[in-house]
Amino acid sequence: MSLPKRIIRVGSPYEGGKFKLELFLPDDYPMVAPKVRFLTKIYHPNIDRLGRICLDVLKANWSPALQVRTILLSIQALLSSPNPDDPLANEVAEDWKNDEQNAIKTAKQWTETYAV
Amino acid sequence: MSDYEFEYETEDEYSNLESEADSLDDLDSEDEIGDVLRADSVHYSFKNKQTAGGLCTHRMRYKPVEADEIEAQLKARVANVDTILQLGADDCTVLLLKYGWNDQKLLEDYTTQEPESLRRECGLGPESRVRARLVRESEPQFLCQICCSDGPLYTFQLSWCDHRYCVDCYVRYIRGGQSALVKCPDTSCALYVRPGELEQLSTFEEQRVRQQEEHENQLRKQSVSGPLTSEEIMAKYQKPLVDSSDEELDEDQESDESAEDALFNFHERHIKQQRLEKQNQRNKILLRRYWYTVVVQYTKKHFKTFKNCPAIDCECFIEYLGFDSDVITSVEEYVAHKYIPIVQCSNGHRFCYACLSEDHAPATCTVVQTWIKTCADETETSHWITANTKDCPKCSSPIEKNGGCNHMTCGECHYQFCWICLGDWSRHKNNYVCTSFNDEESKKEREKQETSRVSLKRYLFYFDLFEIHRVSLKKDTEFLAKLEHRVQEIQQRAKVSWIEAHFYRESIDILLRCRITLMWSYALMFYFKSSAEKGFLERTQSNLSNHVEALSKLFEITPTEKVIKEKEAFLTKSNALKSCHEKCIEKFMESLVLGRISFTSELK
Repeated sequence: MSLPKRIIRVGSPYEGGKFKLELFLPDDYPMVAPKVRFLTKIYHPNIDRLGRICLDVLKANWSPALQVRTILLSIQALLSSPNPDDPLANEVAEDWKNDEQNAIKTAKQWTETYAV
Repeated sequence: MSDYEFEYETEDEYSNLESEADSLDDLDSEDEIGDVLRADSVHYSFKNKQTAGGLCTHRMRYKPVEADEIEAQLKARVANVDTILQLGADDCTVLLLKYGWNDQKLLEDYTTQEPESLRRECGLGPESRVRARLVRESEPQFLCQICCSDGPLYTFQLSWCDHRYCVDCYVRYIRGGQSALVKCPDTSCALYVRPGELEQLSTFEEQRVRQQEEHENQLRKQSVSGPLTSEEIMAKYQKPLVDSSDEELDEDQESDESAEDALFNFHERHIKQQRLEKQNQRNKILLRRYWYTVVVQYTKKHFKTFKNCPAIDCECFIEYLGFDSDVITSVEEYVAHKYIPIVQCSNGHRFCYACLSEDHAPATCTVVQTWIKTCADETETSHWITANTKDCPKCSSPIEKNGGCNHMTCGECHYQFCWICLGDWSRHKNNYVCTSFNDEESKKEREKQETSRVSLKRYLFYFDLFEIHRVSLKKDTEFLAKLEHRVQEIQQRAKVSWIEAHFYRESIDILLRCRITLMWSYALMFYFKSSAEKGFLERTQSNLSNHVEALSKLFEITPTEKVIKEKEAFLTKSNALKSCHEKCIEKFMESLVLGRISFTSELK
C-alpha cells in the first residue's frame, strides 16, 4: 500500500512548499516502521537525493503505538529544525554548517522551484 | 548417550553411569543425579597435567553448559543482588540487564546516586511491586492504539503506567523485540517490561491458546458428525490458512524420518529433537523466550567466557573457567604458545575454543587458517598446472602447449627449447635426436624441472594425504550415521544387552577422532622444515596411521554374529589406538611448544 501525502509547513525555508511523500506500510506494520520517502526534491541535511529520511522514529525508535499521523508530524518537525550534526546528505550538511544563511537561501530556492 | 568414554575429563565413571541410565530409559531420577554431577564437574582441554616427556600442558578449564544452566546462574545473580538492594527479582533483573550484568557498578551507583532518578533512568516505575491483574477485559469503548480494534478486548498494561493495548498486539510486540529489554510501546513512556509482568501476559496467552485449540478440536469433531452450518464451513476454510504451514512441516518431518529412520544418526537426531522441543516451548511460552533472549544476550556480551558450540543445530555453550597454571592467563596467550584448546560440548561435539572450528589438533590455529586458505587458492590451479604445463628451462615460468609443434618459445624470456627434451632448440637443427633417454643435456634439464616443481609437489603430496583422510573421515561418518541401526542389529541378533554392544560405537568414535588428528597432522607437516625432529614426528604419525588402519579393517566384518565374536579384537585395537593417539598428540605438542621444529616460509 502506498499513499501520497501533502504537507504544508509554515515558518521555515520550506514554507509554502507542497511536498509529496511516499508511505509504504510493510506486511508487519505496525510491528515494524513504515517506509517513508520524499518524492519532491528537497534541500535538507537529513534528507538525501533519493528522498530517504534520517529520522529516529522511522528506525530504532519505532514503536507500534506510533501512527501515520505522528510520523508525519515528526517529519514536519524535522523540516522546521534541520540537524546538520547527524547528516544523511553530507554536502548539504556541510553547507549548512559553514554558511547557514546561504544554505537556507538554497533551501528556499529549491522549495520555490520544486515544491509547487 | 552424550558422553564418549574417551573424553578428556576426570568424571569418566559418572558419564558412563549416565549413559547407562539413559539407555535404560530410566530418565527421571538418574538424569537428575547426572545433572548435579555435571554441574560440579570441571573439564580440561587436555587429559594429563604433564606429557610423557615432562612438558607442562597448562590445561584450560571449562564446563559444558546449556542455556537452562546459564539461565539458572543469571537468576542466582539476580537473587544475589536482590538480597542487597531488596527491590525484588523483577526490578533487579531490569537493573542488571541495563548495567550489562556489572553488579559492582550497579551497587555502587545505587548507593551513591539518588535511587529515584536511577530507577527512572533504568526504566523502572516508582515502586517495585508488580500489580495483579494486568490483563483485563476492557470496556466496550476502548480502542487499541496499535491495531485500532474496538473493545471489549483483553488488554495488557505495565504496573506503573496506563498505556493499555490489546493482548494480541502486546504479544506480537514483545515477540518482535530483539533485545530482552522491551519498552512500553508508548513512545513517551520509558518503562521496561519486567519478567513478573511478562509472566501474567505469558500465562494468559498460554491459556488462551490452549482454549482455542480445544475449541477447534471440538469444532472438528462436530463437523465430522452432522451437516455443516455455514459458519462451520467458514471456520473450516479459514482455519487451514493459519495452520497449514505447521501441518505441512509436520508431514515433511514425518516422511523424512520414515525414510531415514534406520539410517539417520540416532545421536544427532536426539539433539535435533531436543532442540526443536525447546524451541517450540520457547515460542509458545513468552516468559521462556524472554529468559532465553537474556541468556543469548549475556553470552554474546561475555563472549570471552561463553562460546556457543559451532556444530549445526547445537545450542550448547562452553563456559571458560581459566587455566590450571600460573604461567598462562588467557586463551590468546595459550594459543600463542602453540597449545590448542580443544573442548567438548554436552552433546559431544569437539571444537577449538580459540578459533571455533572443529577439533584440529595437533595443527595450531594459525596452521589451520593458512592451510584452508592455501587449499582454496592452490588446489584447482596446481592440479591443472602439473597436468598441462612444463616450466621454461630458463626462467621457470609455466608454459602451456598451444599447438602440435614441439619447438617452443617462452612468452616471458623468448628462450627457444624443445618440448620433448627441454633442451635448447639450437641443438635440434642438424638432425639431432632428442628422444634418447640418456642424453646428458636433457637429463640435466629434467632434473632442473623437477627441483623447480618440488614445492608444488610437496604441497600436493601433503594435500593428497590430507584429502585421503578427509574422504575416509567422511565415509566413516556416513557409516556412523548407520551405526545405531547396526548396533541394534548386533544387539538383537546376538541377544546381548545395549551395554555389551556399546564397544562398537566407542570404537568408531575413537577411529573418527584419530582420522581427524591424522588429517590435520599432514597439513601441519607441510609447514615443517625437514629436520631430525620432523622425521621423528613422521614415524609417530605413521604409527598412528597403522593403528587406525588396523581398527578400520575390523569394521569390514559384516555378518553381525561375527562382530560380537570379535569384540575382544575391537577392544584391544581401539585401546591400542587410544593410547597411540594420546602419545601422538603429546609428541606433536612437545615439538611445537618447545620450538624443536621450525616452520617453512609458507607459514606467515
